[in-house]
Amino acid sequence: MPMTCEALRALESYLGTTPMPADFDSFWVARIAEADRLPLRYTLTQSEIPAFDTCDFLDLWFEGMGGAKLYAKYLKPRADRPVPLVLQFHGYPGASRSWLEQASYAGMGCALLAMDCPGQGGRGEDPGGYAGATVSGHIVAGLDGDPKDMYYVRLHQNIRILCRIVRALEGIDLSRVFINGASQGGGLGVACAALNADLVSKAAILYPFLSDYRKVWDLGADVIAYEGLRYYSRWFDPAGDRLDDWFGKLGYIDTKNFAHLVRCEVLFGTGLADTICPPATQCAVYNLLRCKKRRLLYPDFGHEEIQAFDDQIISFFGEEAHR
Amino acid sequence: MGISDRMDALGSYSGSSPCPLDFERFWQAHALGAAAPQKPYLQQIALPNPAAGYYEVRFSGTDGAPLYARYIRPAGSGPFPTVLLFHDYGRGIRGWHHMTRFAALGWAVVALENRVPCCDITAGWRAAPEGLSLVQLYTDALTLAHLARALPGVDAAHLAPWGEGLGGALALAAAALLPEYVTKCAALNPLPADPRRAWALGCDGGLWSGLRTCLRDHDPTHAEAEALFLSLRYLDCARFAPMLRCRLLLGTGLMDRLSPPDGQYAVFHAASCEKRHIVYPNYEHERINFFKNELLTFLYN
Repeated sequence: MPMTCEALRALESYLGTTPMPADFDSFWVARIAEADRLPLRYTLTQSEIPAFDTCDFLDLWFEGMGGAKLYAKYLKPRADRPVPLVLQFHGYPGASRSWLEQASYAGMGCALLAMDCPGQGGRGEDPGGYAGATVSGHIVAGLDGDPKDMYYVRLHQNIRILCRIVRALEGIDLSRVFINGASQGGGLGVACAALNADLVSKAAILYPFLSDYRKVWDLGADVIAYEGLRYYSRWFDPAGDRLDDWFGKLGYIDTKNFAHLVRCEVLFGTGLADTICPPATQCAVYNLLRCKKRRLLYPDFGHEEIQAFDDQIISFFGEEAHR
Repeated sequence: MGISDRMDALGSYSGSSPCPLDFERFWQAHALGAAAPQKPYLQQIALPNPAAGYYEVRFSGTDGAPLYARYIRPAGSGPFPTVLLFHDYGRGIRGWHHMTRFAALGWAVVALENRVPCCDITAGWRAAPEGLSLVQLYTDALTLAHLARALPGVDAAHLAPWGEGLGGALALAAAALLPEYVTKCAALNPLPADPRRAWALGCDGGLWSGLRTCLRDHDPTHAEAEALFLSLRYLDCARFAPMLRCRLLLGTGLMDRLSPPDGQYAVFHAASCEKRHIVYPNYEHERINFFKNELLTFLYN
């Protein structure tokens, strides 16, 4: 049953249930420094899609943390001046969407980088080596080890490296770098905006995943995309004796905990019938954003394509992209 | 039957019913009617994208019904090759952001919004073919194709109909009946294809739900079933395939339960044009990212 607007209003001051680690900010300063020390190694080559007169379609391969071979689609419209760039992040456990779908941004005059999260449905290799269970998804991959070795910590570091590559690309207007992401892409987008605040100027975030894990578990919504939480709970903490411990670690990769570091303008979308990423968890993220922000609610939509939100992106990015 | 055996068995499948003798004549007459000149109403939509122009298009069907379409063209004078976009049963017209993809390729796009209600395949079958309700929807697609040719910026000799599901059938119809102007046609999981076969395979939901009402509720002994399925041949999108002169790209999800692959294979086998069929063994009646990549390359040359 969709959440009502009244119930949503009751969450106006809800700031999440997952703990915020006391050293969250310093933890991430150290992780970013690690990522910045890595030599930048990447190649750009022609993809499977031929070059149109109006747009190029390129494969970007780059070296990530732990020697990972990582991949992103790169679309660049032909232009006689630097163009804005969109960093696009995909849902879990998929891959970057088709070249044709990504071309919508090129059609807006924007270049686009769409990274494939390693070990999921696209290209790019995850070197693995995570402590503990690896059978039940990436949220809990590495949860039994040092937090700095968890999957999503490594992924945020790899996205940092991608942002360094953005700065090195030819023909990009670095004053107009935008983020777009839905679900996992929304969670990664918030973290990217937070950890690369001097690069990103706008972020369009739709129903972010990876948010408020303790609340997800409390609600019994730890199924499908969040199934790793239930798996971990059943096999490694069946009586709930260590909840503070492992949710404490997950706090380092909880989207809501990045929110206070975001400085760019955010357009945020929530479907009130979302049963995959509970609206309450999304509220925590939105409420913790201190930047300029606007939220659109879609009462009859769940965790699905919301065309009306996508259409807003043309104006949201366009207003800045074509000033 | 396993996946491999199924693909082998369908390798030569050409449909369960012969084409009506007057099929082409019937549809050519509708195409002629749809070509009657009209002045559509264009309203530009103000979106901050100097790389493309966005328009709402209002026009009339051959029965006088008001119809709606969306038009996006790249910036510049053109003329531009143009995608004719048709949407599936149970879905709406695609959004502006979605369709901006074609501008990136140097293509314009004109997208039809299906009239409502449109989608009981059996509606009007007793007065077939003219009385079949879906005939008007197919004719709307032909009207859109003719109208698109006259829009400013459209290269009238380079149209590419494209659609998924029911939109795939509309794309095939438009491509078949405007061969002088269509260079390429793409369809993913087109339906309706081979209605008799679809019913035999147990399809009774979505577009096929009218079959269930007709046969179970009104004709439980199938006294009129033969007449029903003979009438539905006029809507069978596989029957348009022999008329195609353009290049054809067809995609099929082998697990499709809304548009059985059998009918889709019949589409492919009936076409004698330059053609390519891509089958995705583990996909259903759904959008397929990998097919979109194929479509992108298909639009290139």
